[in-house]
Amino acid sequence: MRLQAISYALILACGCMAVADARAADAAGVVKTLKGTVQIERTAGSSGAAVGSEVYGSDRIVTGPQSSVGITLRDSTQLSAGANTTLELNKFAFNTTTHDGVLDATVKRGSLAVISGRLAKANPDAVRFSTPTTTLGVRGTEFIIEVGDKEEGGR
Amino acid sequence: MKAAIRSRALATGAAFVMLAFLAGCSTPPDRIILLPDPEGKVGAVIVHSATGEQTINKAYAGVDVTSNGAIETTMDSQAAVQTRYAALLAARPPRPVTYTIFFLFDSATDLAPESVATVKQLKAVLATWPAPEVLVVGHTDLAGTQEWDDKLSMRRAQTVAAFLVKQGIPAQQIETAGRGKREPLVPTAEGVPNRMNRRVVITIQ
Repeated sequence: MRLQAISYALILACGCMAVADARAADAAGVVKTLKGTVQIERTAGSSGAAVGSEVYGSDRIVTGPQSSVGITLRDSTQLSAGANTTLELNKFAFNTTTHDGVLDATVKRGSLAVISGRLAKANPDAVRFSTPTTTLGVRGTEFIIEVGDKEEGGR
Repeated sequence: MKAAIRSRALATGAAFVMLAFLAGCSTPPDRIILLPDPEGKVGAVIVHSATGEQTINKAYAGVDVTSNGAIETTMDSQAAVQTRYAALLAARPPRPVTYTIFFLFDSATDLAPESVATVKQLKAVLATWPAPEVLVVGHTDLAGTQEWDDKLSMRRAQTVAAFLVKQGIPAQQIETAGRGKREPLVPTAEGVPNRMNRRVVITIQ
């Protein structure tokens, strides 16, 4: 994807950096805002999130009391999760040339604000958000999801 | 006899209290609220539950959905939403910003002269952006085949990326892509050259 010269320079400069760079291309998104305690849970293990942390498809994002996190996905979808929230990013894929892909996320508890991105614009049916009682079809722009059941997915 | 009547009344009373208690304790509904974008435009969300479906398409309109699938429409005020969800809305990432750089016909290398000024603005924005990502996406006009235009648009993106790196923007923050002729700025018929469509769009997010 990148300029070959840049890749070569990176490989020459630092092998590990080139690896990190390749991973970045597969990431679903990046953490942009953070307050309090936020965990990113994946099969390989759980880690505390920081601004700049990468988020991948099938990650689970968990916020603590008085905490929040803001994540921008590769298709420019902007998400923010409020306090005591469990957000499961079930699937994410985005082709930067065709804008084909999929975004499937579940809010198990807590709250989520969404500003939809390029994927929803090109392929509205490829974007799905759900809660314990609902499934949302997105036809653009901005909305808030708040899950009523405080126990669902509680840990 | 009297005692029996009293105990039945007590039991009935207890049942009513129990029902009221259960109703009060039932799970609060899931709530979806639609917001306008900064220009006041409103999209739509179609909410499906186990038993129904409801489209919301007005600013601050919403639905409450109970665990049995019942959907009730709601209407909030801007002030109420901004107060109730203040912390949630404050946590939103910064909105992506875009800059456009134009190209000469069939060229992947000749940038418009205003590009240097654009890069200056870009660097100022990048300096304060949290974990910045620069997406550099090339576009063509509708002259040429899809295959040719895909390659041309990618070369344009790479030209701009190289230019940005030379101007001091870290290469690892930059991702390039070519959209070919899929997203013309000015819609034209197939095969029509158009200056406005020969461009690279830089998005910071």
